[in-house]
Amino acid sequence: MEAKTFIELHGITKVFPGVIALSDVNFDIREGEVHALCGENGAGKSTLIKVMTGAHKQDGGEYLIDGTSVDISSTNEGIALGVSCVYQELSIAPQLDVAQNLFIGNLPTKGGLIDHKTLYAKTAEILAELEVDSSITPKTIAGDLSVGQQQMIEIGRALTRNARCIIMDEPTSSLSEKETDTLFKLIKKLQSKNIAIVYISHKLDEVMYLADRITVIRDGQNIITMNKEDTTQDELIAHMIGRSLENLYQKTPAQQGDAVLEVHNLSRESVFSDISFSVNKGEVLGFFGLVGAGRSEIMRAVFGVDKYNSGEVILDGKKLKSGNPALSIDSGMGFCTEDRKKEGLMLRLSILLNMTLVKLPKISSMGVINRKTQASLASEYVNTISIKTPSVNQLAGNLSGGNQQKVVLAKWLMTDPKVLIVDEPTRGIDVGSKSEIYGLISELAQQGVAVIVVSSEIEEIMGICDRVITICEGKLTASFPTKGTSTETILAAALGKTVAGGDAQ
Amino acid sequence: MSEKKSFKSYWSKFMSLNGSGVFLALVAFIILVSILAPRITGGQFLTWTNIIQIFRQQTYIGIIACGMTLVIITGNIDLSVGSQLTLLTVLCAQMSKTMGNLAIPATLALGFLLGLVNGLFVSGLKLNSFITTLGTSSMYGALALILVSGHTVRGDSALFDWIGSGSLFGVLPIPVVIMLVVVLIFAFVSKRTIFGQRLYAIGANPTAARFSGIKSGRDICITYILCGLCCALAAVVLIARSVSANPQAAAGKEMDIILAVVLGGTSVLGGKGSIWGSVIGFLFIGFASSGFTFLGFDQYIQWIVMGVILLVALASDVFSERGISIWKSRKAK
Amino acid sequence: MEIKKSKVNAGSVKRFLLSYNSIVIFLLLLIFATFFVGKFTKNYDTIVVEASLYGFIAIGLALVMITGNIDLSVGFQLAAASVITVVVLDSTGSLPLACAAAILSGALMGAINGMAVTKLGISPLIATIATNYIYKGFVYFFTKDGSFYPEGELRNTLKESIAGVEFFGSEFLALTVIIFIAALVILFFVLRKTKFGVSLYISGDNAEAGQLAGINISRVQFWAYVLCGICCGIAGMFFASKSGAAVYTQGEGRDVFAISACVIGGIKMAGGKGTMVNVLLGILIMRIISTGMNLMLIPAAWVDFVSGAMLVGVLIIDRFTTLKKEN
Repeated sequence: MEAKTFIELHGITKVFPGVIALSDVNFDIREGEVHALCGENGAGKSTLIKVMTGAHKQDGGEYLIDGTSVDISSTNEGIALGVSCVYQELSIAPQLDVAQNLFIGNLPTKGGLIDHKTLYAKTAEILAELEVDSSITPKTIAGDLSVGQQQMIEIGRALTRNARCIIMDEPTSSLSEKETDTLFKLIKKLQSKNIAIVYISHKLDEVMYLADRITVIRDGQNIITMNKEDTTQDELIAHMIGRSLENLYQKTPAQQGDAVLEVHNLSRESVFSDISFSVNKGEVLGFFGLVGAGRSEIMRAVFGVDKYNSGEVILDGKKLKSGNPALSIDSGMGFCTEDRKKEGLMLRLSILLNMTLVKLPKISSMGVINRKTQASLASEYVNTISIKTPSVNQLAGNLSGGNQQKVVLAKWLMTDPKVLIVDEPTRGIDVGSKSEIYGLISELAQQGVAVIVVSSEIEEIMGICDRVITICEGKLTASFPTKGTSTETILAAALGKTVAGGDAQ
Repeated sequence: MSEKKSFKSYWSKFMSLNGSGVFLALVAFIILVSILAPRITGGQFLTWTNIIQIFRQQTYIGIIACGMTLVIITGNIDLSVGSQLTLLTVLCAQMSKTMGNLAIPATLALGFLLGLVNGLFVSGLKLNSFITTLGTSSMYGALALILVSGHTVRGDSALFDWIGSGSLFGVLPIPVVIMLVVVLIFAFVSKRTIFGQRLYAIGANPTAARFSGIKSGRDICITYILCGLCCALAAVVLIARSVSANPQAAAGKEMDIILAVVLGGTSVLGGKGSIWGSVIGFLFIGFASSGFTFLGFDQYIQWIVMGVILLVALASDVFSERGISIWKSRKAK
Repeated sequence: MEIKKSKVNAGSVKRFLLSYNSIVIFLLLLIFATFFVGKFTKNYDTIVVEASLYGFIAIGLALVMITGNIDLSVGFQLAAASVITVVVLDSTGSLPLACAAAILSGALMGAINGMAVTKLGISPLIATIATNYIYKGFVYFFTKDGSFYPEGELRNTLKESIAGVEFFGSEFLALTVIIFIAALVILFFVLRKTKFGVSLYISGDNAEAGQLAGINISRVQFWAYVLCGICCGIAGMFFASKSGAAVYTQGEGRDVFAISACVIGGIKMAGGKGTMVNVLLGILIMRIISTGMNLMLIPAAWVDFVSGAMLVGVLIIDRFTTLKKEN
């Protein structure tokens, strides 16, 4: 007998200025099932979640709960109907205790006053149900918990609201392997209590392990819904990408030179250890690993913004210093960070200043900026890498994601780097800009720049890199040429399995 | 048709500049007072003497506002400028008795020191700038009182006489010239030099600034030192004008200075603002206080009107930004 | 079993000291002053009365600071409320009416601050500098540079009532002290035992998380300002009665006192932390320093110097203890 359907979405459409985020999407959730939602970045997953939780109101289509049509226009209403979400960015109040975080916005009261006795008793019950570490008491301060434990608290929060469906958006992205195991056990347990889980993840092996059914969406449309038994990871990937890779990834092979960047035995306590690799002139080196494997952390250390405990970074024969990004930049390194808005751009400043910020010392004399050079340099780059903007004086915050990314790239291109690190260069960017950025990377390599591409999208790595290094739990696991290596081999290496043919280091 | 369009584009460009709204309010205010003053009190507002008088009286606010603008652009604040000014005037007056003209460079050196103390606390130890400078403000103010035990000190230096009564080309009083020079230097530094542009970057996004290789601690420390130097210069000008230093004269002036800077469109969130905006804010405060006197209004009206203007100016700023996004989302529907 | 128990105790003592580290400063000062400052023990009552009198604005400000905002206008809110007390008393002759008017005017001023911050969206620092000008202008209108007092017999009535009321002839049981302690206790429980109280912390700690959980953060911050205004109103009423007049200088420098008391007591500028116990400790520390130095015949300016240095010192201690925690 099939389980009862809890939520049904029929023909959901959601339009944002200039973008159709969702178009005629159907989605349904049965009681007690784990339903995985897969798709590339920007495919419309987060919009769909927001419609489900009530954060967004759909522009068209019907939302049914238990077969009756509902009209949800705030997250509160969603919560009341049993739909809760565990967000990718944790919403924990770090200075409050566990109990207050569990019952945030929903504290038990007696005669208008908070009933601390019930609060702590109920919290203890939920903590027991979550099977968290016994060191966590209801009075533990939430900020003292690890990220994984905080996530448990968030799931517990959904339980306090008697959720019938819990949406988990990339829940394992910052969890350790052990914490992930605990989470999976908890999910199975919730399932046995007839609570439905919508599971969103890039990690297809997790999806294959957990899910009962899988829905793939692409470009705001739903492609297919399948039972897990009827599909394979490869089929999933094919559905998610849906187009031939060759068109998207532009790659002209470049002439490789000598090693320009060498990293020896780099370690940072409890983050990554013993990382050694080198990149040649004109090479595009991919860094692949699951989210949280430590790829970005390694790059931050190589660039110098994060300190490392031991090891050395040598750029063109010169030893760089830990915690000194200025020196790395002067020596010819550039770093397009993963989080554009937090680490890459000054959204409230002009494109002009954003692009030329690092270049300023070169276009000025005695500290005074040559404004003509600055402006012409900026316009030149606006034209060559086709940034769509009315003028260079436009504020960076007014640009689209793709154009913002190009501004960050331009900032580093201007410095004529010898080594350019690009961390998740195409996250949250439309397909058109993606292809342009891939073209740019290929062109750089031909000019003799060593490019390191960090990505969690295997297709991206396969499409544009000459060589790929896999990272698992802060350790370098293998290195392969992309040509002639299968996606499965690389994925396996990134998962920490020993693979034949890999040039293990 | 095209003429109309170009006017419109100039207009929108002008309105997007920092402090343009306050500038318009200032012009309207000056016109209003010029018309009303002769009828109410019989005074002529817009005369050369009066304008020079306004400048002379308020130069010290203008000078310190320049330093404060840089501090605020980096996303910090300096609440100790009033006390720094007091302490430096007292010290300058006392030193002039024994050192004569050398008191002026000595005051500048002390201003450097006071700024450095603030700067080291805020950038070196990474303390909250608001509370830190509130603390140093109490300390500097107390030191001023302790040094002179509450009395007024007379300054004594030939240079003071020259600064206080001299003028350039027989028209521009020396204090005004000093202020203009400071304004030009700071405007140039903030807009045209790497250091100045880095300050904007630090204020707009400290993390991204670090990823761009900017050592923000050093730059923030320098802004506090510059602010201290401005206070020292303002102290010299203040003594030259009134000959004496009163340990209570400049108490609470930090509010007027912050007011001038913020009215000029500089955001306390950092990353946005300009020296010219602060000059407009300074002019507004100067003309307003003089204008109210010309209209025969009391001090209290001036304060109330200032408060209201500040609220309206900032609220309209917020709404113009928010308004655009509301309009955009409506248009999308 | 025995070991485990003592471990828990050590942990909770440590936690207590971390959240109330100002208690160490307080005890040290108290012991020092008691033993080394002549006549200090005879002045306990003065300290208690003045701590109560000055304390109202600090507890009001603490509520605002817990939400992550700031109020620089507390001083002139107080002065304006004392002006209202005098004006209403002068025109109606009714003391209860005057008191009610003072408290209401405080609430109104707090509401104006709250609107400026939450509805107009102006940064709290600048918004309250602006409203401070308005309240200051209002006070100056009545007091000019000096003071403003009710005519004739009414002035004595004002002096003898409110702040002049003492129970059982003991200064410790002055009305000021009783109402202050009542306010402290009520607010302590509001912060601990009500949803509103917890929302104040959430607003300062992680406003976005609160918003996602369906808490109206703007409204919470608005009411924090209103409560702060009410505290200032009560303080204004007592000050008016204490000196039998509304005095312009009552407004000046009070904001610095209140912020210092809060920060030294352990309320964080970033919000989300601190209880009424912190504020009380901060107020007492400030008053002990002031009274103690006064009794030692040290010039008043040194009191400012020491409290300024203490403010910076507390920040530095804070910095290093949090650094340790991070490591």
